[in-house]
Order: sequence, then C-alpha cells, then structure tokens
Amino acid sequence: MPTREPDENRYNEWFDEAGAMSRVLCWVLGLLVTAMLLAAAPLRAEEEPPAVNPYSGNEKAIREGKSWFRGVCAACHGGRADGAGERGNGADLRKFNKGFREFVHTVKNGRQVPGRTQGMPAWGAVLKDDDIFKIGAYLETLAIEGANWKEAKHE
Amino acid sequence: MDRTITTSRLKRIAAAMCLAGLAGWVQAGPVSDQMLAKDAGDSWLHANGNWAGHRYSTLTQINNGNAKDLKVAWIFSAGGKNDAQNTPLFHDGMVFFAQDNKVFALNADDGRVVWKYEHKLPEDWGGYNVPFITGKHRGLAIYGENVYFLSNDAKLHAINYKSGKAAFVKDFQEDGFPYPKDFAKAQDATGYAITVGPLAIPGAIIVPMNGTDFGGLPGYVLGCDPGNGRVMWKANMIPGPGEPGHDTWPEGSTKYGGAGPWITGSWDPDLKMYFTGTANAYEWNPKNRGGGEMDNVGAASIVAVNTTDGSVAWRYVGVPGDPWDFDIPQTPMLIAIDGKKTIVQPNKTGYIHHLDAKTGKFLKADKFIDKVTWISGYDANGRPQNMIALPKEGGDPIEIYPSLLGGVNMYPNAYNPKTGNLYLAASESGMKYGFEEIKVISNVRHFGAYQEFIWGDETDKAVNAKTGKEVWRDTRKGKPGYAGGMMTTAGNITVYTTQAGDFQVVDASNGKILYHMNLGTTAKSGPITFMNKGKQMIVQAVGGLPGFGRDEAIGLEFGSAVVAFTR
Repeated sequence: MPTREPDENRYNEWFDEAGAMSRVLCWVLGLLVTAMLLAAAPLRAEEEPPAVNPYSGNEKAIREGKSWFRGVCAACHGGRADGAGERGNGADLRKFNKGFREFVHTVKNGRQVPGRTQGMPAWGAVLKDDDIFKIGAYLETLAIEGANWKEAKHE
Repeated sequence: MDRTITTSRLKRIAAAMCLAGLAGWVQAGPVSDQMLAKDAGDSWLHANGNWAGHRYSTLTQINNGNAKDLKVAWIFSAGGKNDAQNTPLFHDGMVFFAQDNKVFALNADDGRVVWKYEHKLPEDWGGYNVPFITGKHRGLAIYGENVYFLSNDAKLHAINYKSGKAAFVKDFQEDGFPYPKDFAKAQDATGYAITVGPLAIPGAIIVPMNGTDFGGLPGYVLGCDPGNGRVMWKANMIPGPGEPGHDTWPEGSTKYGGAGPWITGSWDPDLKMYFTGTANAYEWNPKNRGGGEMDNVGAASIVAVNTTDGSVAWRYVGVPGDPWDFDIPQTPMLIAIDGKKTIVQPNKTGYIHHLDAKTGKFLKADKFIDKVTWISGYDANGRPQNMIALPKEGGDPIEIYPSLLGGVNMYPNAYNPKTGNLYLAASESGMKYGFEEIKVISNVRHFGAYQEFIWGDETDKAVNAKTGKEVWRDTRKGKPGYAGGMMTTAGNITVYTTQAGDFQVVDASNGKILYHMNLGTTAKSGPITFMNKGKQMIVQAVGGLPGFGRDEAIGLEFGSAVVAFTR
C-alpha cells in the first residue's frame, strides 16, 4: 500500500489553522458526511475510492470527464494527456499505471516533485469525487501500452 | 551572519573596486541616469541590454575572429527549482542573478557568491498552475545603490547592490494587487503571479503587474519611486471608461481581461514612453468577451505608456479578440528605420510588427516563420486577414500554425545596429486547438481552451530588420522548442544557447558557428556580456525543464547553472 502520511499531515495542519467556529462547522459537516455514509452513499468523501472506476466505459461520464480534463488539467498535462502542457510537463497520463485508487488519491492530494517548485496541486477540496472519477474514465480511453487503471499492483 | 565571511567579502569587493578604479575599466559606484542611458558595453545594466531592448553590446574584444578561443571561466549553480529565465545584470565587478525568489551577487572573477538575498513566499501562496511559474524571474533592474527585484508575490525589493541588504520592500497588495492563493483554502485564489523584471528609468522604477493568466485579472504597469517603491502612477493595459477601445469589451469583462505585461518592455528617453507587449485576453475561450468578434483592445496588444503621468499614449491590438492565446508580450524594440523611430516586435503571431513609436500607427508586418495558417497576413491597417474559423466549444480541435507558443515566445530576441539584423529565437511548431466549457473554481477562471502540440524544429535565425528578409538560419533538426535567448555585439558575433543546451557563438553576419559547447541542460534565458578587469566575459544561465512538454526529443534532464566564458 502506498503511504498515506502526507495527507494526514495536511489534514492536521488544516485543523490547526481552523478557528473554533470552523471547527464546529467541521464537526457538523463531519456528522453530515457520516450520516450520508451510513445511508450507503456510493461515493464516500474520506474513504478509499472503489478499486475500479464506476464510470469505466460510461459514454456520458467520459464526455463530462473530457470537458473537465480539457478545461482544467490540459494546461499542464496537454490536450493529448501526454504531458506536453503549455504550463510545463505534467505526467504522461496515457501511461498511468498505478491503478484507479492511486489516481484518485493523487488528484485529491496533489503531488510534489522533490527539488522542484512545479508540482500537482491538491484538488480534493474543490473537485467532487464524482468529477474526478469522470476524468479518470476519460483518461482510461487514452490509455496506451503499459497503462493500468484497475487495481494497483502490490508493491 | 558570520562576521569573517562579511569581512572577507568586503575585502574582496574593496580589492575589486581598487583594481577597477586604477585601471579605469569599470564604472563603479551608484548607477546614474547617464549609465542607464547607454548601450550595454563595459556593464550590462538592463535585462534587455539597453532601454531600446536590443540586447546588443558595443564590446569587440571577443569577436568573430577569435571567439573560437573561448574558455569556461567559472560555473555557479543557483540550485534552481524551476526554469532559469533570468537574464543577469553586471555592474561593479558583480553578476546579479535571480532564481527561486532569491537574488545572488556573484564575483565576476570566479563566480563565488558575494551575497545572497532570499525572500520567502507567503504560507498561502499557491493556485491553479501557479507552481508552473514559482521561482521564475525574467529580469532585474539596477539604479543608484540598489538592485530592484520583483518576487513572484508582487513585491518590489530594493537590495543594496554592495551589501545585499534590503533598503525597502514594497508590497503592492495595498495598491490592489493580490498574490495568487492556494485555491483549496482561499475563497478567492486569484492574484498577480509576477515573473517579469522591472525597468529603471530616470526617477522611476517601472513595475509591470503580470501573471494575469492564472485566474483572470487585468494587467497594469506601475511607475514607482526608486526611493521607497511608492506607486506614482498606474497605467491600465485594458482601456478604462472613456478611453479609446473601452467599447471593444463587453460590459464587465475587462475586470478579468488578462493583458498582463509579462516581459520587460522598452523606453524612449525623447518620447518618454514605455512600450510593452501584453498577454492574451482572458479566458482563452473568448465567449465571455465577444466570442472573437470584439477586438478586446489592450490584450494581445502593444501599449505605449507616458512615463510622466502613466497615461496611455496608444494601444495597438495585434490579435483582435485573441481566441488563440496569441499574446504578443515580446519586448517592442526601438529601431530607427529610414529615420523613423520604429517599434519592431517579433511575436507569437509569426510576424514582425512595425509601428510608428510616437503614434502607434501600423507600418507593416513581416512573416518570419515558414508556416503560418491562422491568417493570410496583415492588411495596411494592421488587421489580420482571413482568419480561420474558430473551433466549436466541446467539438474537435482544429489544426493551426504557429502553436500558441508562437513563432517566438518569451525567449528574448536581439538587434544588432551594425548588421541591421534581428536575431530570433524562433520555432516552427503548430497545434491542435479547441474550446471547452469555462470552469470557475475559487474564483479562478480556467482557460476554457486546450492544445495538442505539433512539434517542429527550433529555428534560430537572423532577419534583416528593415526588409524582413531572412539572412541565415540554424535549424535544430528534430529538436522542438526555442533557444534560451539572443545577444549580439559590435564584435560581429551573436550568442545563444539552444533548447538542447548547445551554447553557440556564431558570426552575426552569416551564422557560421565559431564556438560551441554542450552545457548539459536546457536554456531559458538570454546571455549577457561585459568587461571584467579588462577581459570581456559572456555569461549564460541555463537550467529548467528541457522542452515545453515531453523531453524525449531533447534528451536532457532538469538542471541549474550560470556559466561564464572568457578568452
């Protein structure tokens, strides 16, 4: 399993910075989320995403994911998702091989490149899981040899 | 600070100053108006070499007859974490270089650090594609006792050039220029992400407010007091109410307009005008600003600012309603052509634009790359002719040339008054380009457009400024991208480093390669030259991400170095 330390730190930081008011709000939100989870909502905010993309092959979701990708992600990852972005070279997502779960994790938490200022920002607070899944469903359609969108291999 | 270091540093400076003083080679001491007014020679005091933006040096010690004998004098690594885009300055025995919100003063004898100034970005710094520019700086200014540095978060730092201590730091937030914030935490994450360099003119430091392409804010140029950074005037790139061109923007759209002046412009001491190119309008998808049918004057334009009061003298829009991200930010060079003070600007469009400097009247546009498909040319009034139809939002992208990276991009060009040639860091790439729905997150407005590059070759070339005729070219076969930037001298040489890291000194007249060295990493900035204790030196900063996109074709890794050459 990949380590989850970085986002735990981020979570704590967030709580440290938040004032009393927002802490109360957080609890209320937390309760709401828990209630939703108990109601067996399929897409759970803080839980592990499903091992495979529920939108795989879904034409409508792929179209929406494409729109998100082109509008938001392509600046760094390029219109072809090959990493040839106008804003520097993001990862070549056609070759993404870490599995769907790790994809969702990276989009939500971002990714820093050691020794460089350019990196992936964390989208977890501003993109819905659903939209991230749709982006994944679109990217799956661009996969080339070596890509893996299923369950990650055991490392 | 360690006192022994300080003492030895002072001794070194004192020794350098004594030597320089005795020999009379270097103008030491505070930088005066008279020094700023000269072409680059013994010193290199403007990022662009001189006010006219020529990147030309009058030095001849290194010339087309002896450039083959160059040797590396020293190498310094700034430990860069992003592209080394800074054109250094040289004054009083020191090379000044900015990288990653730090400024280094290097002893020109051996490249050792005399002082280092470090600015820490705010905790909440961040934002949509802002990491892309964090740590990039295109230029410094020097005036009086101070080096002037613009940090990414819109602060002007006046740093005593001898001590490395800040005389003042001016924060432009109080003047309405916020920095971009982490969009996951901020309600409004938009801000000015500054990469441009300031320009020193008599009595003012010109401070462009750029980075308007990181969420949607309008561009400005500020005139600041060299003594404390106070904003003396503020010029809006996009016309305000009552100004000509205001009606070329739909109601409310100017507030997001873009038009950031992201490359240091030029200044004319007679006209007292600052000339700058501006960024594309925002968003790239033009649906909220006239759909490409309205001109959006001020964006993708050349703007002349009266530096006495900050009023705008004229604006010429090079790409009306710009739907292509064809901003024209390049330094508008001031060149006398047939006795007329002419703005000459090679830009993204694939054309070299000529304007009357005084009036902004369009004179002509010369095509300088092989393949241009977005228009058939410019008419006599400077309007693009037969522009291809825009792609449909959500539909398939269309193929056009050049790519949005342009015929030339941010990598500086040069002009040599002796050869009459412009030296261009050009490229032949195209793109597939399409529109998508515009997403807004934390008030950050996304492009609503995207591109797929069609890579072509880097083509470094000389073009006669007056006729527009190509004189020579150096095609880097199979290597897409741009040279780091151009510099040329009275010694009939032109110097540039290719995207693939080949440092080249060529004959300015015919392009013959006189000296070549593989610097091992990519170039993103222009070289400089100066006289240090009687010896001419050439300094080139290299480093950053090789290529704009994938680096397979370039075959290099990320690096960081400032390299000095001499004979």
